[in-house]
Amino acid sequence: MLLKAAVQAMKTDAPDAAQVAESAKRVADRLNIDFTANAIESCKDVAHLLPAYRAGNLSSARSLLIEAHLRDCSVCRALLRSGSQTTVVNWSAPTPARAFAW
Amino acid sequence: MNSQEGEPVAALSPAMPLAESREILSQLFAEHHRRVLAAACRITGSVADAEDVAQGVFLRLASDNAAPISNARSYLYRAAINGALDLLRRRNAAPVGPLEDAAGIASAGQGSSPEADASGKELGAWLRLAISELSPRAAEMFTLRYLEDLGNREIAVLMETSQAVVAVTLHHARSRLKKRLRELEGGKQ
Repeated sequence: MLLKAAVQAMKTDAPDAAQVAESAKRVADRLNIDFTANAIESCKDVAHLLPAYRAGNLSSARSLLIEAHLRDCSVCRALLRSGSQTTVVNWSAPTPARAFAW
Repeated sequence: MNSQEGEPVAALSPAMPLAESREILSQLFAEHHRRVLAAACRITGSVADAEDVAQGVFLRLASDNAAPISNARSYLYRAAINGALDLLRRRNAAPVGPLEDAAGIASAGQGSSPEADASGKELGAWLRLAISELSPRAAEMFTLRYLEDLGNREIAVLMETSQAVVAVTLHHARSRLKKRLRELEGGKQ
C-alpha cells in the first residue's frame, strides 16, 4: 500500500503542457536551437512531407528524420506504402534522370 | 521503441555539415522533448532538474558521433531516465531533508488538501531516495514499469533482456523498496 501511494505521489510530479512548453523554450535557448521552425512533431507533419520524401526532394537531414519516424510509426509506414496520403502537388524542380552527355 | 536489429542505423556523423547536424538536433528536440522532460520530471520531482537532464541528453546526442537517429525515440527516452536516476543518486549521496526541494517540485493534483499534498510530497521524496539506493539496472526497470507504465515485454525489448529477468528483478526491487519505505516511515533513516 505504502509503495503504491509513493508511486502515485511521484507520478503527480509530471509537468503540465504549459510547464513543458516553458521548459522546452528554456532548454532550447541553452542548446542554442530553434525547434519551432518547420518542426516535424506529429504524424500529420510527416504525412505532409511524404510526397516530397518520395520524390527525393528533402534535404538529407529531413530525410533521415522522416526515416526515423517511419521506423517507429506503423501508421505512417502504412501511409507511405499505400500512397494514400493527402495529395499535394509537388512544385519543386525535378532532378534529372541522368546526367547530360555532351 | 521498435528498434529492429540488423538494420543499418543512421547517426549524427562528424562528416555531416554543421548546419545539417543542428537541423537534425532541432527536429529531434521538437519531436521528443515532451517525453524527455516529463520522464525526467517524474523521476527528479523538479522542473529545473528535468531541464538539466534534458539539456545533457540532447547535448550528448549532438556530441556523440555514434548517436543513433533511427532509434532516437528509445535512445533519448532511456538516456533521460538514466540521466534523471544519476541525478537522484548524486543528490541523495549528500543527505538533505525530504522537503528541501519542495519549491522546485511540480504542483501535485489539484483539489488535494495541503496536508495530503505535503504527505504526498514526502512519500515521493522517500521513494526517490529508496530508488536511488537500488542498482542502476533495477532502478531503471522499476521506473519503466511503475512510473512510465511499460509492460514487462516492452521493458525486456528496450533493455535487451528476457521477460523472466525483468519479472525477477522487479520482484526484488519491490521487496527492497517496500522495506526501505517502512524504515523511512518509521523514522529509521
